[in-house]
Amino acid sequence: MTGVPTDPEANEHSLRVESAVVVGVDGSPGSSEALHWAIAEARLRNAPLRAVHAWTYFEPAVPPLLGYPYSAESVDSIVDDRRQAAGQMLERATTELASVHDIEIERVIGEGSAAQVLIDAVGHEDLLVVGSRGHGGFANLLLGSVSQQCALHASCPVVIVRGTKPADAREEVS
Amino acid sequence: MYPQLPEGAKEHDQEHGSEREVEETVGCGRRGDKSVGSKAALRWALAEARLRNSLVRAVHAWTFGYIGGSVEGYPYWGGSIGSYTSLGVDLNDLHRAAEGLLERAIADVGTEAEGIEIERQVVQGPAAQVLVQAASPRDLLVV
Repeated sequence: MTGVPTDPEANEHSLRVESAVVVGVDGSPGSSEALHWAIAEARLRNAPLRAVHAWTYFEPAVPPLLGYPYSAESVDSIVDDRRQAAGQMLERATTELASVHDIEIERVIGEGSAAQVLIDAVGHEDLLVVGSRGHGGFANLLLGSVSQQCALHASCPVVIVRGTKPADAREEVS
Repeated sequence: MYPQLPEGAKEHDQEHGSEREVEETVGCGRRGDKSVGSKAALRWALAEARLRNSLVRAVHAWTFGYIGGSVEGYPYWGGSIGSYTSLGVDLNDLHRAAEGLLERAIADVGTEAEGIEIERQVVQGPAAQVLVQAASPRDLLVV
């Protein structure tokens, strides 16, 4: 457990459980700041860094009169597209930073609600890092629902990175 | 401390010298009452401060019950702070008790606090409000 590096017992513990810094990434400016924070923290702790991105498949709404126009194959291909897009998004958000900081970033994509995927992605020994606000919700919310859910339900310490940029400043994530 | 941070994070870097970690010690008004959670938070804050070479500001907020009016059959005690004394309560005593609680909480973590500068802050007020005010944008607030 790198959380208490001076405790000899904790050091023994780290031989059994490797604690990681886990960061939620959704491509928003807020998650970009969380990623920067997580990179610095992972270096400080000398811990592995894992970037997690959640994606969901929403079935398009179809008027009942039209019947169900999707075959199993076409749904599969939509799901595949979404999964692929999620992977590409996560790669875009992390690749450059990983090379700039010369740090290895493990990428994980999970299907489901962001809070659920993040909570499932961490163990007791990890550190979960999220932005205070991501893509969802209103621009003037102080705390997004995902960071709130993580703070309430994650099994490990949670860092909520308060963005330094205005919440409504949407920009491309490097 | 933050090596080679890119544009977006530069400000953190520059302000790092003044970075502080803030820790809440939860007290429920009873002498010596400390939660297990706040002790874990203090330990976490100390370890983090060690990593970042920053100081820890340990914050303890305390409140005394409302006695500004006639409540539950008890007589009116007056609306000013001075009326506390009519109950035989000295606010300074309460404040010293709160300071003692914080001191014991820090003593409890023992050697984990060695070599870490700890700034104590004991404030009368609601815990959440006190903590939010105690932390500035460059700090890390630990609860």
